[in-house]
Amino acid sequence: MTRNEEAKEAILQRVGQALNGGGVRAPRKHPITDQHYAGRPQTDLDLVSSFQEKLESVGGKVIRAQNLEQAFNELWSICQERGIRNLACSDAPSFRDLTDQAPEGLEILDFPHEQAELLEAEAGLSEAQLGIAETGTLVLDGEQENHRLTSLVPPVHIAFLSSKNIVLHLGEALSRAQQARSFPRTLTFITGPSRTADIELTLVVGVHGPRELVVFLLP
Amino acid sequence: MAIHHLESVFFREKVAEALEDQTLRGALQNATGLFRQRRLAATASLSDWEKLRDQARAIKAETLTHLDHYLPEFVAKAESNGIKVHWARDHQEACQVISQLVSEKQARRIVKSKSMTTEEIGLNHVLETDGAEPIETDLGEWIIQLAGETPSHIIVPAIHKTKAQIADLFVDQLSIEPTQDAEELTKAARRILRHHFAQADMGISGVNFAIAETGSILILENEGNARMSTSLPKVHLAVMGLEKILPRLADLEVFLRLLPRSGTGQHLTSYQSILSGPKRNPDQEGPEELHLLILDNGRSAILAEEITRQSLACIRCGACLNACPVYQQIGGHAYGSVYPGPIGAIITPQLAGLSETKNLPYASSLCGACRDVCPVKIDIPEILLHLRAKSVEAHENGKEAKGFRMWAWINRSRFRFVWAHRLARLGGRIFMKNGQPPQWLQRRAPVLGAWAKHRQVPTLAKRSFREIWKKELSRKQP
Amino acid sequence: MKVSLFVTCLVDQLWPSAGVAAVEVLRRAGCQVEFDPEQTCCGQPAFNSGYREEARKVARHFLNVMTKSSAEAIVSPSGSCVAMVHHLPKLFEGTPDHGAAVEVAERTFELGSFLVKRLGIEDLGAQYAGRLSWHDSCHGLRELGIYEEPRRLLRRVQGVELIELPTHDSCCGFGGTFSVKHSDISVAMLDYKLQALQDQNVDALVGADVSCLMQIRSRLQRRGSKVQTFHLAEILASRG
Ligand code: SF4
Repeated sequence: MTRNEEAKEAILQRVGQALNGGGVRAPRKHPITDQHYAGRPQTDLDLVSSFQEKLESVGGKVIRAQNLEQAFNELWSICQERGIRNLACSDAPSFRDLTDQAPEGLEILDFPHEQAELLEAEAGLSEAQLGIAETGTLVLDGEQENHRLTSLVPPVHIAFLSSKNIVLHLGEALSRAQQARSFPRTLTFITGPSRTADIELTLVVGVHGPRELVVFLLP
Repeated sequence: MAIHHLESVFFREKVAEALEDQTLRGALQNATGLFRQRRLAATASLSDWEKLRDQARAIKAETLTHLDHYLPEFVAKAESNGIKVHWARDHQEACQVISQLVSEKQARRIVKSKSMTTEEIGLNHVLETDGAEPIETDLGEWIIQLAGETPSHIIVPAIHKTKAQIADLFVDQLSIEPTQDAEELTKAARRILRHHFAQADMGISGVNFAIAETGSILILENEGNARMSTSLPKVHLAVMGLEKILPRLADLEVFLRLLPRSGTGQHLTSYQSILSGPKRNPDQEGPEELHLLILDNGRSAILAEEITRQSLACIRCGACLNACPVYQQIGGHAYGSVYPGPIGAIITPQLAGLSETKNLPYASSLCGACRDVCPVKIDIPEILLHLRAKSVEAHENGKEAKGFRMWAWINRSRFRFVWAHRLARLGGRIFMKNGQPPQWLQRRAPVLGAWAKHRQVPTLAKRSFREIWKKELSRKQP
Repeated sequence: MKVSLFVTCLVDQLWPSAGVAAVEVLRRAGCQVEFDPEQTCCGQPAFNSGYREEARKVARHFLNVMTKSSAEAIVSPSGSCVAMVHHLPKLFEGTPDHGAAVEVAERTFELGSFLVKRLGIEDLGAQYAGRLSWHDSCHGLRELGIYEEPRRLLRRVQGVELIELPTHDSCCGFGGTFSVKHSDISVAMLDYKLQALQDQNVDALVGADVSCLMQIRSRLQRRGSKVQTFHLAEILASRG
C-alpha cells in the first residue's frame, strides 16, 4: 500500500469509528426534501431591472443594447472614450473576427493569449451564460467559453449577457449548470468589480481583478 | 494532531500586552463595530434569515453525521473528474505531502490564496525551509506575511493594523513612496503581486465548500487573487479539512446566502469559483493538474460526540469574532492560535488537545453573543462548558477543585450555608477597609486580589434576606 | 396564585433588598408568596466552571427543596439562575433526578417576565423619579429571550425616563469565575459598556441579575461614579 492509500484508509476508518461509536444514528436523508431553500426573492420580481439594480449597487455598470451591432458600437466608443488601446477577447463565437470592426487605435487580442500579452491588456471581453437577478451576478461557464483570464486579468471586464438568460435566484443558476450534459470544469460567479477592504476597512476596487465591470444587456 | 505555531499557553501574557495597546483596541473596536452593523443590515435584507440558518445547520448535521458516506462519495467523484486526491492524517504528513509535490513539480515560486488550513499546518514555514518561495496574495495575508506576523482575524487577517502601520511597512519593505492613501497602497500591492502571479509555478488555495454530488470545490473571495492563483499556474493544489463537504450542489444556495452576509455583510462576495477538475484539453484554460489535499489533523475525533461534532459545521465566516466582547477587547493574537475568538476557543483545544490550551475554554464570559450570530447555529457556549468539564476531569487543578468541593459541601445544607456566610460577614467586617482587602489577604486569596484590583469588594449585607423574611416578611402575608 | 420565591444565594447574602422588593411586588400583583429557608444555590457557579459533579450535588439539594413546594410557580429575581434551572434537565439526564429537574424547570420563571407574561401585569403603581437605563443581562436576553418585559414594566413607573444605551445588550464582563480568572478582560469589557453612561447623564442602571449588578456597582464605586445600580424589583417596589 502506498502512503496515500494508507492515510486514506486510516482516516476513513477513524471517521467511521467516531460515527459508529455513539449509539444509533439517524438514517441518511437530506433535510431539504422539497428542494425549497430559504431566503429566495419573491417570484414576481422583474428580472432585468433587479439584476441591473443589484449589480449597480456593488459598483458594476449596465448598458442596455437593442442588438449585437449596437452593443459593439457602444463598446467601441467606450474604449475610445477611456483611451483603451487593446481588448483581450474570449473565444466566444460572437467575438470572432472583431479586428475588422474595431476602430482604429484599438487592438483586438484574439484567444488564445500569451500570458505577457494578457497581463498588458487594458480590457477583457467575455460573454456571460447566465445572470442572477437576486444578486446581480454573472455566471460564466468554462465549457461554453474560455472566460477565466479575460474576465480577470485586465483592469476592465466587459461582459455580454442576454436578458433572456437572467434567472431569478442562485438556486436556479446552480440547477441550470447541473443540467448541462457534463458538469463544467470551471464555473465562475462574478458580482461586481474586484474589491478589498483589508486596509483599515477602506473599500478599494481593482485589487487583483478588474476595477471596472461593464455588462452589456442584450435582448 | 497539532496546530503549527500554538502559543495558547501564553494567553495571560498576550492578553496583558493586548490590553495595553490602545491603538490595537481602537482598531478592533472600529472594525468589529462596523462589521456588526453591516451584518445586521445584510441579514435584515432576507425575511426568513432564521429559517435559512436552520436549513444550513440541518444540512451540515446531515453531512457530518454521515461523513463516512459523503466523504468517499465526494472523493470518488472528484477523482473521476481528474482531481488528484491526497490524504493527510496530521499536519506533519500534510506538509510532507505538499513538500514532495512541490519538489516533483520543481516549483519554486508558489502563489497562495487565503487558507486557514494551510496556516493551521504551518505550510509556509515548511515551504521556505525547502527553499521554495510561498507568497500570500490576499492583500491582508500579504501584509501579515511582510510584517512577519500571524493573522488575527479569520476573514480580515490584518484587522489589527492601522493604515499608518501598513504604510510604514510598505515604505520599509517595498521601498514605495510614502503615502497614507489606501488606494495607492493597494495599487502597489497589485503591481508587485502581478509580477508574482506571472512567474508562479504553482498555486495553493483553500476550499470553502466541497460538493459530494459533483466532486467540485468552491472558493469564495472578493479580490480575485484566488482566481489568479488557481487559473494562471500549471499546477493548482487545494487544501481542505475533511469537514468541508456538502451533499448537493443545490445546497450552495443556502450557504452562499449565509456566508457573505455573516462575514462581511455583503449579499455575495465578488467571486465564487466552482472548480471541478483540471483542464479537459490543451485548448481549455485552467491548470494542467488539480491536486486536492484532505486533512484530518484531529477532526475525525471531534465527530465522535454530538455536542462536539457541531464545531465542524463552522463555515469560518468570522461573525462570532466580531460579536464577541472578549475578542473586541483583546483581538486575535492573544488566543495564540490561527483560530482566534469564540470559534478558536472551541476548535483549538479540540484540534490540539486541552493540555496546552486549557486557558481558551475559560476565555469567555459565556455571554452567548456568538451563538446568536453564528450562521450555522453552533452552540459555542455549550461546547465551552463541555470543554471546561473535560478540562476539570483531566486536570483536577488542586486549589480550585478543593474550593468547589468545599463550596458544594456548604451549599448542600442550610445550616452550613448560613454559618459560612456569617463567618464571611464577620471576616469582611474585620479585614475589609473601604471595599479593599489588605495586601496580605490579597496574596493569600488571589481570587480576592484579582477582584479588588479594579473593583470594590462587595460587602455581605448586615441582615440576609432569610433573616428579614423570618422577622418581618413571613408574617405579613396578606 | 401561590408562588415560591427562589431568592438565590447572591440576593440572599449580598442584595437582600432585591428579595424584599420582589416579595412586595409579587404581593402587590396578588400572589401569595412563600419562601423556603432550606434553599441555598442552584449550582450555577460550579456548572459554569466545569465542575459538573459539584454542580449536581448542589442542584440536587435545590431540587429537593423545590419539589416539596406545591406553589404553581417558582419565581426568581435572577435571570441567570433561572437559566441554570432550565439547564438542570440536561445536567441530570439519565439520572433518577431527571424527572424532578423537568418538573421544577417547567414552573420556574424570572420575576419580570413572570409579571408580564404569566400574570399580564405591567403597572405596579410604582413611582421613581430619575433617568434609568436597562442592562440586558446575557442569560436573561439570550437564553430566556427576555427583552420587552422589563422595559414595559419600567415605562409604567411614574417619573421614570428610560434611556437606551447603545451598549444596553453588551456583556458586563462578569461571567462567574471569569471575573477573577481574567479580571483585566472582565473590567475592560465593563468599561466599554459603561463608556456610554457618561454622555447620557443616567442616574441609575437597572438590571435583573445581581451578579451583573454587583460587577457593575463595584466598578462604579471604584471609579467614584455617582451612577447607582438597582435591581428591577427595587424600582417596581418603590413608591417615590
Ligand atoms: S463558529 Fe459560526 S460564527 Fe463563528 S466563524 Fe464559524 S460559522 Fe462563523
